[in-house]
Parts: sequence; structure tokens; C-alpha cells
Amino acid sequence: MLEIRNLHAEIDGKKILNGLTLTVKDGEVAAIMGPNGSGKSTLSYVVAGRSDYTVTAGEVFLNGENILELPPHERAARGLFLAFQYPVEIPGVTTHVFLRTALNAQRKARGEAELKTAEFMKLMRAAADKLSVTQEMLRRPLNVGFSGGEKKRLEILQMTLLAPKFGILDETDSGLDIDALRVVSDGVNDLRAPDRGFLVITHYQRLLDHIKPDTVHIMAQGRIIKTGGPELALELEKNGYRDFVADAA
Amino acid sequence: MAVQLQTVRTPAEEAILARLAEGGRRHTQTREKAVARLRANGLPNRRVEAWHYTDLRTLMRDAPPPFEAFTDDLVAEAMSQSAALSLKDAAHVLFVNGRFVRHAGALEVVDADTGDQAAAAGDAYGDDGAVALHRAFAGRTTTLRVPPSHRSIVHLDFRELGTDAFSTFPHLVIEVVEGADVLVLETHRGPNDVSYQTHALIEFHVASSAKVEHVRVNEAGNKALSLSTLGVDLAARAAFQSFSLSSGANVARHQIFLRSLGEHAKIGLAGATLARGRQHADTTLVVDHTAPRCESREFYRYIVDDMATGVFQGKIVVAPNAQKTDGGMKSQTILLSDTAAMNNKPELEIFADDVVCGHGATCGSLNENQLFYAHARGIPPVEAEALLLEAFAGEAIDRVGDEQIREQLMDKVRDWLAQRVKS
Ligand SMILES: Nc1ncnc2c1ncn2[C@@H]1O[C@H](COP(=O)(O)OP(=O)(O)O)[C@@H](O)[C@H]1O
Ligand SMILES: [Mg+2]
Repeated sequence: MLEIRNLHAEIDGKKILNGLTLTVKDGEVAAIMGPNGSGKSTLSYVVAGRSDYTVTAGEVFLNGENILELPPHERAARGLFLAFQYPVEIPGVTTHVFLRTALNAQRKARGEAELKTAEFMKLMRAAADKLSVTQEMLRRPLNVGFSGGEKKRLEILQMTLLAPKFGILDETDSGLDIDALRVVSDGVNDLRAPDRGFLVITHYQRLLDHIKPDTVHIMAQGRIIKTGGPELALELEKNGYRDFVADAA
Repeated sequence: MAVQLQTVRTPAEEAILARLAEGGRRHTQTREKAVARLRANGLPNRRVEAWHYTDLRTLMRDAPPPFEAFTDDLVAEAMSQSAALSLKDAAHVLFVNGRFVRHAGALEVVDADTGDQAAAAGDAYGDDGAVALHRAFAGRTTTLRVPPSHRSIVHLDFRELGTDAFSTFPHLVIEVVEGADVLVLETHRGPNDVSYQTHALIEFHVASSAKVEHVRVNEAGNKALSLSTLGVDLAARAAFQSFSLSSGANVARHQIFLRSLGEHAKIGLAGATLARGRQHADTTLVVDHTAPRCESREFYRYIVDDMATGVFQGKIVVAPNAQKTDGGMKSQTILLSDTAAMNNKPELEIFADDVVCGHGATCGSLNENQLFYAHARGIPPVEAEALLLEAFAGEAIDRVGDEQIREQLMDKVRDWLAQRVKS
């Protein structure tokens, strides 16, 4: 469960999150929709622990624990996963070495034994097959020269292997064609579980046709301005953000 | 008599000149020229353009005596220790404190008093201060002839031993005959806490259509001063690749003077330099294209930590007739501390009009986006940095063709990074 209470955050003196409050329960899929620049990526970075943002007020609880004081890697080890809007290229580090390093680091942090190469390869292959990630891609440097769609599939592959307690997907649908969208959505849906929550950030109703949310939140100017069910996304698709944002102002 | 304004000599210069005055060395034209240069110019220093960033008047505190005390015990001790790197099936050529000791394997090796080859070869680096210093003192020349027919593997294994400061001046000439194919591993290892100095000159004469892969590993001791010059002449269609991993020595300069003398020569120079503490590590290249249609690539990576200093100087020269030259040079640096420094000096001197040549240099800290991405996946900061740094150096090491060597070089990078974490 992820609970965000009255979160205020800024970067370089610029206020971006202005008292954001949001709860996503175990087993729930919540969608956040909002215009460009409303602070959606900022929210995902702040929750994941990026240090260039300053939290000036508020709290973030992951399964009851306030994680704002924890460094990013400890948040990850406690089960938080962020699928980046713009996955980062890491030249010289092959995808499978990166994945193995990440998984074993998390296991170590949780006091679990590290996986042997063979065990890891087996897990990785199985997950990769499902997401149409080829062995050739896994041998290449992470994200380097990958298409937008390939990068997003790799984000979901990482989430599958790391099996988090809570996943935040930041515009995972952007840059995907219809087929890739289906592969990625199936990957996420496979991970839906009673003890796992998701926060799905998107611009478009399209993704929510595939990953059906339980709740929909509309975000503007660093706050949640309206919360509802899946019908809210449809309404938004029809009328745009303008009415909501005007109502809230 | 004209009044000369003379800068005050440093203790090292005094010691060198006093030793030269003692005489006792064979007279050759090459040596006389070198000695005259040293007398006139002293040690190379910041007023000499090519030595601006590596000023031996300040970096070379003294000039310890040439090592003379060769004994069987010394050789036995050297042989009881391990080399900086091991290579299966290599003809092993051992040098102890700069002197050729023995070789095993099928290779023609001749060790003799230094003659006058340099003048005969019309060499392109006789004016260099480090070469002059070497030639003033070098007494012997070891000549290796690499036969054609099959691929040769040679390990030039340089070991320094001792507890008192000393200097060495090894000189090697490697003749690679037409059509030969050779892998030459050159390793240097010596004791910590001894202010020894190595002045090495290795000259490759590569005949047409011959192929050389050269890998150099410098693990000199932490107080050592290591000056190394590689002179390379390439005939038509020759291929020459050289990689250098430098992590040792207090002060290190590795310079390569390479000339392509025939068409279609292919040149690949690469290196990884790891420097920490107060180390000073310099790589200086002069790649001189004197014939048309040659290709050269230079790819260097530096990781500089603490108060260390890196220097990269790369000069690509294209002579007026060297049309269709294809040259590309890259040097990239990661600085790991605010007090680490890097001096980058790429230069192009192009006198032909139909060429493609470029260079690029970058210098910065570790990429924050990459670090955060790794952290967000659960990789702790120390491990994330090591992962990125290993990859950064690894991209240079990838230029090495031999897998056995590549793996050992990666292990060395990992060891270096592991020490960083400990301190
Ligand atoms: N490093 C930064 N410095 C200054 N402003 C920033 C920085 N990063 C983001 N912003 C600003 O914060 C606002 C929210 O950005 P973002 O969180 O990326 O929005 P969204 O993901 O909803 O499009 C935007 O106005 C953006 O320009
Ligand atoms: Mg965004």
C-alpha cells in the first residue's frame, strides 16, 4: 500500500508538488491522468527518492513505513519499483548483467541468498519470452540504441524480475504501437496481485482499456483535483482537462 | 663569450650531468646527440610544448643511479614472483631491472651493446627529451625478430626489484617481418615504496602486410617514475593495434610516436588510465600519416580520483601527400573528486585536402541519471558507481582482441575499483 500525504516538493526553488494526497491500497490499480507539466513525473521521482528534488512537507508511506528518509536503493529493496518515462541508457553494461546486479542487490538487502547465474538466467529467459524481449537484446548494453517500445518492454521485464510490492508506471504507454501496448499491458496485468498495488501515470484512455484501473485521479498543478472510477477517464477523454482544471481553480 | 641566462639546475639534472661526465659509455652518434641535447636543454619541462603538462623539472625529484648489481639471486627472486599478467603459449622474454635475462619459446632474440640504429632509421622522436635521456644511458639493445608463417605470442615481462632507488634504461627493437602476425604483451611490475625510475624505449618496425597487437600493462610501484616511449614504423598494409592499461607508478608518461610509411596501414590505439592519490598519468600520441589511404583510431579513457592528474595529448599529423587519410580520436574522462584534474590536448595538423579526421574530448563526473536509475533498481551507490566505472573502462578494454588478456584486464579494473571502496 502506498500512502502519500500532503506532499510538497520543489526543484531549483520551483514548487512542483503542492500538497498532493493519494492512497493506493494493496491489489489496487490507480491511474493518474493530468496535463503536461502538472508534476506527474516529479511525483514518481520524489516517491522513488531522486535527490535533486526537495520535499518541503508531507509524508510517503510504503506498507506503513515512511520512506522519505530512505535512499532510493533501500526504497527499491523494500519493494518500490518505478518504470521510467525515459529509461536511461547505460553504455558498457549489458542488460542481463544490470538485471542480475539489481536483483541480487535487492535480495542481499533483504537477507536473501544471491541467485546463481544459472538460476538467474532461467528466470530472466522466462520473463523475457513473455515480453518478446530477445536474447540478443539482453546481451546488448542497457537501453542503448533500443527503440522507444523496446525500452518500455525492458522496463516491464525489470519489474517482472524484481517482483515489487508496488509499481509506478510513468507514461509506459508513450512511444508504443498497438502490438507493443498489448504486450506491455499483458505484462503488467500478469503482475496484478492482491498484495501488490500500481500507480499508472498516463495521458491516454488507450492504456486504461488494457490495464483496467480501479480508481482514476486527475492531477493538475501538483495536486489531485478529482478522484473517481474508470468512468472519469472516459469523461476526460471526451472533454479534455480544461473543465476539471477550471473547476479546481 | 656571450653571457647565457641559465636556469638553476634541479638536483636530478645535476646528478644526470655529473654521471654523464664520468663517461665509461660507448660512443655512438646517437648517444652523442642525446647527451648534447640533455646538456643544452636539461630535463623536458613546461616550457617545452610537448611536456607542458608533465614537467620533469618538478616531477622528477632526483635521478637515482643506473642499476648495475645484477646477480643470479636477483634473477631467481624475479622468477619466483608472478608477472602482472599471464598469457598461455607465449614466448616469455624476461627483463629484470631493465636488463634482458632470458627467453623461452621459439623466437629469435639478440641482446647486444647498443649500436647506432637510430641514426640509420632516421627516427622521428630523437628530439624528445625522454628519448634523449634514455639514449644517453641505455647500454644494451635487445632485438626480437618475429618470423612469418604462424601467429606468434610474446610476453615482454619487465620486473623491477630492490629496496634502494635505481634507474633502468631498457631498449627493445622488434622487427616484424613481412606478413608476420604477432601478439605482444608488455607488462611492468615493481615494488612499492621504492623511488625507482624506468626509462624504456621500444621500437617496432612493422613490414608490409604484417599484423601486430600490442598490449601494455603498467603496474609500477607507487613511488616509481615510469617514462615509456613506443616508436612505431608501419609499412604498407600493416596493421598495428596497441592498448595500454595504466594504473601504476607515481608519475607515468607513455608516449607513442607512430608513422605510417606505406599505403593502407591500419592503426588502432586505445587505453585506460586509472589514477588516484597524487598520481600523475600522461599518455602522449603522435600519429604521423605520411602515406595515403591509412586509417587510424585512438580511443582513451581516464578515471581520475583524489588529487591525481591525468594528461592526454594526441596529435594527428597528415602529410601533404597522405590523401584519403581516415583518422578519428576520442578521449573521455571521469573525474571522481573535485581535486582530480585532467589536461586534454587533441591536435590535428592536416596538410592534405582529401581527408576525414576528427577528434573529441569529454571530461566530467559520473552521470547522475545513470546513477539514479541504478539506485532506483536497488543497486547501492558504491556498487552502482563501480558498475558504471567498470563499464566505462571496459569500453576501452573491448578494443583488445585477445579474450584471455581482456578478461585479466577487466579483473584489474575491478580490483582497482574495489580498493577505492575500501579506502
Ligand atoms: N529540473 C527541473 N528544473 C526546473 N523545473 C523543472 C525541472 N524538472 C521539471 N520541472 C518542471 O516541473 C513541472 C512538472 O514537470 P513533470 O513532473 O515532468 O510534469 P509531467 O510529468 O506531469 O509532464 C514542469 O513545469 C517542468 O518544467
Ligand atoms: Mg512526465
